[in-house]
Amino acid sequence: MIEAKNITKKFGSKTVLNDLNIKVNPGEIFCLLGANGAGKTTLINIFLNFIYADSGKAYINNIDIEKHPSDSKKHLAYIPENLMLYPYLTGIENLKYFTNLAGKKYTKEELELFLSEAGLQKNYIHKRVSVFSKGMRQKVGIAIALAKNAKVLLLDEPTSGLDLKSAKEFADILNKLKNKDVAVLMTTHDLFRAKETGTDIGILKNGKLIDTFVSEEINYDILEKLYINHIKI
Amino acid sequence: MLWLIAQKELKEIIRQGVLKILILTVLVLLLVSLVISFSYNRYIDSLHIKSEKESRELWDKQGDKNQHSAAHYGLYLLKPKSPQALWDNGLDRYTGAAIFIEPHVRNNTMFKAVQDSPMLAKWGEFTPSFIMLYILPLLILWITFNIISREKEQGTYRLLKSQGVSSLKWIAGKASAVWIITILLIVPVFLTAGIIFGKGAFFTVESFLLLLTYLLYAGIYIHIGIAVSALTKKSEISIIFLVGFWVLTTWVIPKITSSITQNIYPSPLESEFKKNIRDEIYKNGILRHDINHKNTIAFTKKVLKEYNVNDVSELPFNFNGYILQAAEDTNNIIFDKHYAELHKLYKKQTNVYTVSGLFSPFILARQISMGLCKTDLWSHINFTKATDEYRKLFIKTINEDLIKSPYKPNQRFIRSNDLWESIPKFKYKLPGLKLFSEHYKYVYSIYLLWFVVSAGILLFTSKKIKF
Ligand SMILES: Nc1ncnc2c1ncn2[C@@H]1O[C@H](COP(=O)(O)OP(=O)(O)OP(=O)(O)O)[C@@H](O)[C@H]1O
Ligand SMILES: [Mg+2]
Repeated sequence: MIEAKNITKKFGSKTVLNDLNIKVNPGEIFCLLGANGAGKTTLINIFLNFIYADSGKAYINNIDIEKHPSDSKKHLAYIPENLMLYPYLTGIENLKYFTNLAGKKYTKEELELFLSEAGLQKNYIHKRVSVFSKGMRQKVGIAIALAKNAKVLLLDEPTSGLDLKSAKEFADILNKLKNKDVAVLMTTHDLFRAKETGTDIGILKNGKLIDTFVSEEINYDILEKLYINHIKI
Repeated sequence: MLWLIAQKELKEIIRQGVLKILILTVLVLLLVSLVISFSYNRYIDSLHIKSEKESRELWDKQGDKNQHSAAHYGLYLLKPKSPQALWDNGLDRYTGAAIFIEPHVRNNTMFKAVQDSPMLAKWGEFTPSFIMLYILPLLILWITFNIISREKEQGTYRLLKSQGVSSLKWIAGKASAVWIITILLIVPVFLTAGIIFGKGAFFTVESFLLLLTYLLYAGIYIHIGIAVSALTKKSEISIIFLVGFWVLTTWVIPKITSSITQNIYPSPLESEFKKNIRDEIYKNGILRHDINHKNTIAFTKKVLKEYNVNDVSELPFNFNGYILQAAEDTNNIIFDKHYAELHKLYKKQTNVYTVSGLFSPFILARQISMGLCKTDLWSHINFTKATDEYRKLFIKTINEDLIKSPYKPNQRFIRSNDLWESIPKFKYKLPGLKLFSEHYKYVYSIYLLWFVVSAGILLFTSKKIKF
């Protein structure tokens, strides 16, 4: 479960999140939409203790993230918008390092499987990351998140840089995780994917969730119109 | 977990071409310096052994002579090099290693490489300890300066943080990696060099303390390097800060300390020092070769009165020998007093260095290294004291022979090789750990403090960047 209660965050005089409330239950994929600079990344960063909210509380699996920063991280996996890895290590070495750090041990075969599942081409698994494209790095990031086997996923535009096929595969992965009772909070600009993959959709504006929908209950065209209207102003 | 993090760091370091080349360069420099140092020391040592032997042979075979003339012929005594001197030539180049002993005066050492063969002395500067104390820290700084800041710059820091790794373990893992490289670089070379160049005599407590000293020095740099990398936001700032630390502690503070020391406790010029002794001997000593000197006349009168005779020829012993030894005894007190004062001054000077070691671990490491290699001031003084003891015995033996010889005015008594050969040979054993602990217990304590504080700073840093 992912939960934010009355979160307010200011940068200088600018209020980015304003008394924000959000809750994602197990088995839900919450897609957070919003214009550039709306505060989506800021919200995710708060859950990760990269930055601290001025007021309000945030919970991962009911664990107060400010009180128990390392505890809360045991339950979450994170994919940033632009995932960076160690260029001198190979794809599989990066995966092994990050999963070991999280306290998980896998065999070589299992690690290779995670990378294939994430969509990384076989012949790149043992190549140094310095030759990887952005999308390939993103796939390693997906593998890292999968290997962590976490109950909470925080995804900040995870499919940015992925080609269409890979983005589709990623959506399939998320669907599988949903069935395993994982709670997913994902920011995206891809309205179509949000509607296809997400169970819930929210629009962030002026520091608040101004609108939320259940995907199944809304028609894509209406959603698009609504969204464009919202971000226009 | 620690090993996992260390392993990854090692992999990265090994795969970075530049670092690999730098590590190899330092290794090669270290090996070259060892070979140079070994050849240099062997050359100097063979020279010393040869001169000391030749000098003694000439002494033994100088033939029929008056005892005192023979004593004036003198002997050269030479300071042997310790097996550890392979690592640090210390002050040997400046202090010289040979002493000429003769009646009436306590000489200072000669054969100072810096004066006699400046080219050779320059080579003597390229010692393994130079690599350990100047070059190795730079390598460590190069490895550590961005070891943490790089993770922030390349963006891996965020993912890392989200994995919930403890910052203490993370930093300890990084430190372990650099420690492993340092140990793999130093220890095998140290042991191998000891086996090849030291021929068994090398493996003593001093050598292991020396190894420990170099490792601790590297450790101080490892800890400070990583801490600064963690506390600065940008690698550029980190490297500037660290190189600044290196310049300050290895160049600036030692130079400042040296000039402060010369200002508070100036060393006397050698000529001035000698003149002071001469003046005091002229005033209070006995000048055997100046029979008209008031002290000589007074002493003669006193002896005549004591034995109730009118002329020295009536004395029951040879007066020539008697006054010679009396002059030695009286003048030695004056020599000893002046040298003791000089050594006290040296102690005060080194105390200033010890205090400034609070600001520069280099100053401490340098002193400890020389102390353990027995190329420091105190080992030098230990040698000169031993030679002076020998000189006293040497002169006394000859004078006592003269005292027993019949006294004939205007005619000198003659002795031959058997007396010269009967003088025991000079046997000098290099000082042991006792001398080291006497002079370096505080130095080493402050040194250990540096190490502990550096480790503490690293620990504090890991708290500061908590995930
Ligand atoms: N560290 C910071 N200091 C000052 N302002 C910041 C900081 N981080 C973010 N901001 C500001 O907060 C606002 C929200 O930024 P945020 O990155 O959360 O937007 P976003 O919704 O993720 O946008 P995008 O769609 O472009 O990723 C922006 O106006 C940004 O300039
Ligand atoms: Mg963003």
